Amino acid sequence: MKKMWVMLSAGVMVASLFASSVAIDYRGYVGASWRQYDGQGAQGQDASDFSLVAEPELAFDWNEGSDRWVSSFFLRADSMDDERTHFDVRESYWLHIGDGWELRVGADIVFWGVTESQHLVDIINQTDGVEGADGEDKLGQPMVAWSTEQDWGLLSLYWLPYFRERNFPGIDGRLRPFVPVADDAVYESSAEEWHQDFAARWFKTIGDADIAVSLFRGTDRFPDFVIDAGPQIGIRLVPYYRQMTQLGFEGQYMSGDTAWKMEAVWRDRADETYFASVLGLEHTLYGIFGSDKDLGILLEYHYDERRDKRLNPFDNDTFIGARLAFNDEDSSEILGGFIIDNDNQGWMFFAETSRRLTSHWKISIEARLFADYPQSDIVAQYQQDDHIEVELRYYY
Amino acid sequence: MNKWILLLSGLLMVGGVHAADPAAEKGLEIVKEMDRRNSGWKDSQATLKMILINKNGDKTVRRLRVKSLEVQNDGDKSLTIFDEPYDVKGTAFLSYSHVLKPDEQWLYLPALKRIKRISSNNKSGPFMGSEFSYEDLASFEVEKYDYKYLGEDEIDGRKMFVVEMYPKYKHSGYTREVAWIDQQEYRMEKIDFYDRKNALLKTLTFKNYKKYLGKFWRALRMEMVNHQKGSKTILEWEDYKFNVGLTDDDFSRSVLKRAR
Repeated sequence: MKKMWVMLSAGVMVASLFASSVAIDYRGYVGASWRQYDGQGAQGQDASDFSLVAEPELAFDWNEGSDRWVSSFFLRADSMDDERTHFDVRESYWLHIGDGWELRVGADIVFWGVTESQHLVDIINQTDGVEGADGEDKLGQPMVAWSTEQDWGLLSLYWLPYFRERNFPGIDGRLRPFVPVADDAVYESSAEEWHQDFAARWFKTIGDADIAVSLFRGTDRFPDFVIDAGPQIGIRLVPYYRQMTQLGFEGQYMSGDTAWKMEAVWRDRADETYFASVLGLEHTLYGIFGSDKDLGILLEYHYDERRDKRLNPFDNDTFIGARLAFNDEDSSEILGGFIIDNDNQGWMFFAETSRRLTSHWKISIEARLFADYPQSDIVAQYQQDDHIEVELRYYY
Repeated sequence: MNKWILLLSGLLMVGGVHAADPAAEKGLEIVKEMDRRNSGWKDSQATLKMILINKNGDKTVRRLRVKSLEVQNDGDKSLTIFDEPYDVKGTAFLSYSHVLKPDEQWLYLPALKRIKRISSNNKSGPFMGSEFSYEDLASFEVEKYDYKYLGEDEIDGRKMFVVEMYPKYKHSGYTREVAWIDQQEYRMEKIDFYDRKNALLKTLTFKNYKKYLGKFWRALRMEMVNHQKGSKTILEWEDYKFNVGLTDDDFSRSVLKRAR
């Protein structure tokens, strides 16, 4: 699959060079990151992790901008975990822009959602499970996507012909289950990764409100795990991908300095039907203490009807966070917060800060702590993975 | 109830100013004429280089591209695409400004593929760490201010009207602005901004004026000096183009998401 995209993208790039008036645009970054954990892992994994990362992007426009090719790739070389050393085609698509509509063919990343601490509705792309602990990094998803923007809203239709399996940290990696996850996944559908998935989303701005309703029918991006044990293989977790129908809602209402946010999903699978939601707000205090700094207060509540912390740890949890934007020439920013489990004593903390060094260089520091989760909570597997990460990137 | 009182007092104020104050009347007439001469440009695009200079003389450069669409009887629409610094390359900002109700603003973050709706109440906050606030860069609309004509002055031997402007917007960072307007061409030459404590905060000067389509003046260089911080920001506009055929469709959410 990857090879196919690379060849296809190379082909179009060469073809584009021969076309007249092609506008070429590139961007990206290369970086180095160092992650220090608070001691060895639960199975004796290393405490320090060094990695190199790059994300180049190239785009061509032709036909006076009505056709475009975009390719972006992700590469990481990691000192600790072979599984974290990986390459992915994040984007490689042809875009055609019509009169009030557009068509995308190829791999792309699509984000759905409004809340900050959990992305419930976001279903198109598979999570890149070896990148950040926040699950915000996604793998490129092959698709044919058509959308039109009219007075009645923005309608997007997706045909997703190929499913991407989630990647997981390897035996030497951190932030992973106690038992390693196997490479050979099992599917509910006999078509396996070739199950044809479909999705649709309607978005509209009505005054101070932005709302979206979406429908997804296809392979659940989040696997169940089946325990597989044998004398040769030991114990391992085999991902099991079920079929799912998801009805999603996203809403954001701006009321002065406060943004009210809501995401809700209703999911129907062969084994269960359930409802989950995130409700929250972001209130911003502009120019605090007579300075140029803005302070944002974030508050979100997570609910999952199943109330099973092995499936979704965020079933009755509260997120309290703050974002301090310095509004200075280096765009210095600090974001931090706690996610507190309202049922048990578990809590996690994260803090991220970044600032620009020059117009090319940027440094960021991130810290994550996991504490007091009982073994019945899936987050307990990260309990020994408290870490701090420093990353330096060169953007171009 | 509160709204009614506000509305009522608002009406009384406007009524009072119009009826009794010739200085307010003259100030409004000057600004209306300036606005009349600058209407009908339809759409434009330009590239912008921002040079931030702090009090130690250190320079930082920002590069952006701006597309604008004139909207009759309301604020304009604009799409701003960031090119430099490189970590925000591809970030795009879509704004529908309005005369009296709050602006609608969205930010597209390419690294997250995410469009975020943002509050427009922070108009007084700095734009990208510069000495320009969002408010300073918003489209000029007559109805956004009350006016008072202060008298005449001269800049470089040219005759100026001096008009004081009082922002109606309650979250404005200024109590008042004093504008020098060229009597011949009805274009802004200089603005003094007074902060919420009514102390002189900034001075904006417009330079290198050039005429487009035979009648629309655009300053290709703007200098904003912050008197309190000792820092300044210079804007250099390049490649101004008018009537490039932009329409409402070029300021949509779809366009924001694919802006490059």
